[in-house]
Amino acid sequence: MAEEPLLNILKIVITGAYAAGKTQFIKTISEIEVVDTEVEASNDEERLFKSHTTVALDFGIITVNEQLALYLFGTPGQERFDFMWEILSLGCIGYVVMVDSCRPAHFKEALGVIRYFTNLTDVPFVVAANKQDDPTALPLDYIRRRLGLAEEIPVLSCVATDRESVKEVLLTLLDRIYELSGTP
Amino acid sequence: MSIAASRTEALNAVLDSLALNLGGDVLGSAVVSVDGIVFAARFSSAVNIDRLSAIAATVLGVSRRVAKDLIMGNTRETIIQCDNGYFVIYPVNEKCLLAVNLRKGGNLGMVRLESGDAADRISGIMS
Repeated sequence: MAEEPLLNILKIVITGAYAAGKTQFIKTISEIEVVDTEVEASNDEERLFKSHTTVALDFGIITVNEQLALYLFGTPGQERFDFMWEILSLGCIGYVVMVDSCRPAHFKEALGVIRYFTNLTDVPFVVAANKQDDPTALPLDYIRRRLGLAEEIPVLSCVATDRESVKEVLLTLLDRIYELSGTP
Repeated sequence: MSIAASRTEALNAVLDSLALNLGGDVLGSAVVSVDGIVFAARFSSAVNIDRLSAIAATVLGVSRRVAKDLIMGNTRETIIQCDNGYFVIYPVNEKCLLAVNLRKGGNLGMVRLESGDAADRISGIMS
């Protein structure tokens, strides 16, 4: 029997405010059928944006190469599920904060998520500005300004339904993780 | 009285009779949407009910996911046994759940029976 190659597994968390596209992001890139925990949304205000919502987590896997696989854990978006943010952040080596580029009214929630996570962990993160293919999408530098992000935090254009776009976000996060850890 | 207010009152009545029928075993109970929003609750003020409701929805979500992955049909009950009591969750329908907190030594068989009846009544109120 052939020897199994050494495989590094890295845990990455995909987070962000409600209806930012976290579940879609993982579904687009995962090689396995995503383990989701979606239920029907009941709150009228939340139903305006989508019919289903994640209550526990999403889980997907993407193999980068023979040596490296990413385990992607998606969080629920609403603040009432912040206990899951804490649970899912354990052992993660980097995270993606997703923001809906077309809904500036929700940037405050995204900021809340960023604050919560930067309090939980010091690992690197990138911001993925989703729906950049939408004509009403706000520009990246505006989003960066509204979120008050430091210059070194990447704000990336993202289309969560597009595999290449999702891949680019994850590779940028990986680069940043390696850069900050000092390994090639 | 508004529809929402009378609905809450009806749900509270179900929770009260659940507690009454179980003779002191129930420390608290709540009706919660499957996405974690409280509809009615009978808990001490020491409990953060908004938080507990979200947690109950998460637990049921995970329980249903386990049942689905193991192809074991629908989730009927999730029991968390702790040193000093139980937290039990019953799915009511596709929209909501019933969460019951029991004291240590509480009669789980009776709770199952009574909660089934309560779930039927809640389902009627919520449909």
